[in-house]
Amino acid sequence: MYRVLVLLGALGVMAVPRVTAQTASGAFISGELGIGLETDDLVDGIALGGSVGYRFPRGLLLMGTYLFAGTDYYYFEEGTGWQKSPSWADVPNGGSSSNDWLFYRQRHVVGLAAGLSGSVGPVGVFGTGGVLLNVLSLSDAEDYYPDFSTAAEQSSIAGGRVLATTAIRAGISYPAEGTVAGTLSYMVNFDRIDDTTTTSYFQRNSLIIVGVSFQAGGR
Amino acid sequence: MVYRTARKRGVAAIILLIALASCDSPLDVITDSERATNVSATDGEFSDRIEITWTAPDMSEENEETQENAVSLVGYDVIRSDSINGSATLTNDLLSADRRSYVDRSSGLRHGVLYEYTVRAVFSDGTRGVSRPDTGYAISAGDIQLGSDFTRYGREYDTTAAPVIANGTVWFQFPAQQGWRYEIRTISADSSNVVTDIRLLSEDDLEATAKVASTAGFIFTAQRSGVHYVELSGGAGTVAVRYLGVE
Repeated sequence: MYRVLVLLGALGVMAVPRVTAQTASGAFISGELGIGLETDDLVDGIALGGSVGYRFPRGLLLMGTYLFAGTDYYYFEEGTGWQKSPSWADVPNGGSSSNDWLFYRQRHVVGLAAGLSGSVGPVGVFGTGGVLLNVLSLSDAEDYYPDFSTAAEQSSIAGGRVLATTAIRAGISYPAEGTVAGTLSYMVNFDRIDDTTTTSYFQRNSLIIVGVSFQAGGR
Repeated sequence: MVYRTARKRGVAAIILLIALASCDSPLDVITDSERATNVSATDGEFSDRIEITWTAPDMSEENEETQENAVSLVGYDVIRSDSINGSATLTNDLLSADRRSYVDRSSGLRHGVLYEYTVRAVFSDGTRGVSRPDTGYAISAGDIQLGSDFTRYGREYDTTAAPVIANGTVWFQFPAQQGWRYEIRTISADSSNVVTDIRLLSEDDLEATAKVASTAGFIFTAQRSGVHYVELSGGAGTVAVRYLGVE
């Protein structure tokens, strides 16, 4: 993943015929690190990925985001059945390595959003709103261990493999006039957990995202 | 004069025909100095390939007789044939003379099909010697689901029905977790007198064997993570695999 992001970023830079601004119209790509304020069952403490998008004239913005949001390991114990382990270190693995472990699921976040971007002095600002998919993918063992498959699906907050929600995101980039810029943004996910009245709602459903953005082309 | 010449030619032709008709088959007239011997193809040991091994032609006797123009072995071709696709040479390039094996991983390889392999030795004088054939096959395995309760996900097995392969056995496959204990059990059989031979393979290795009577089973600990194969021989019934977790 890291190599792909670096490669895509390098290609983006090479494609720029002249220095362009983060706020100018044109395509952009960014590598991103999402930090969960509180780990939950769909987004781990840290999520890695990136965004691609396009800035249209007048500041209109269209952006797609993918974040790999972690791996969960499952194990079986006689009497208690299938369990989701808090971490690999807690798995009674019988000497097996995590690479050889058959029972895991991976969490993915896929978003598509539209919004506006502009600049305030040397700082670029942007805000978007759109749909966000929380996706679970299970290891191949699900075809042979149906009870594992059931446990891996049911232990998620939503149940099932895909949960479609809405999310808004706002952030800044610096320097606004550079081809390459650092970004910092905040994303909050709605409708994912039905506990908006609790004080921890925003902690459990928020991501702080830091990244590096490359502006490719545009005026 | 013309008549006598024609008659001599006719007699010669008849003698030649009789001589040819009395010859042995081509394989019988080739000696072990002119072909690879002990050709052996694997019989279900691997799921994704068939391995063919052979012994090189014994050239010592041949070259003693013709010291002045010693003939050397140049290399080998491996030829596969089956009832569907006929005969085909698997080796695009000649295998070197020091090779004693070949692995058939060709895309057309199908589980459960009996293939016949021959090895063709090629010599420096241009002659070629084809070995006696041997048959081999890759296993044919059906998926089996596992539960903690062995009665939940049994699979019917019947050595007279698919996926039976050439030697009359049934194969099932499942991924096993290293360090976990599993139990393979014949939870029903067509008769209490039936004894089922069970072999358990992982990758290329035999992990366990057992003879189990009806409703009996055996427990083993997986030595590695990955696809495991269960081979059943004898009788018919239902087999199930359950997991017990880490030992």
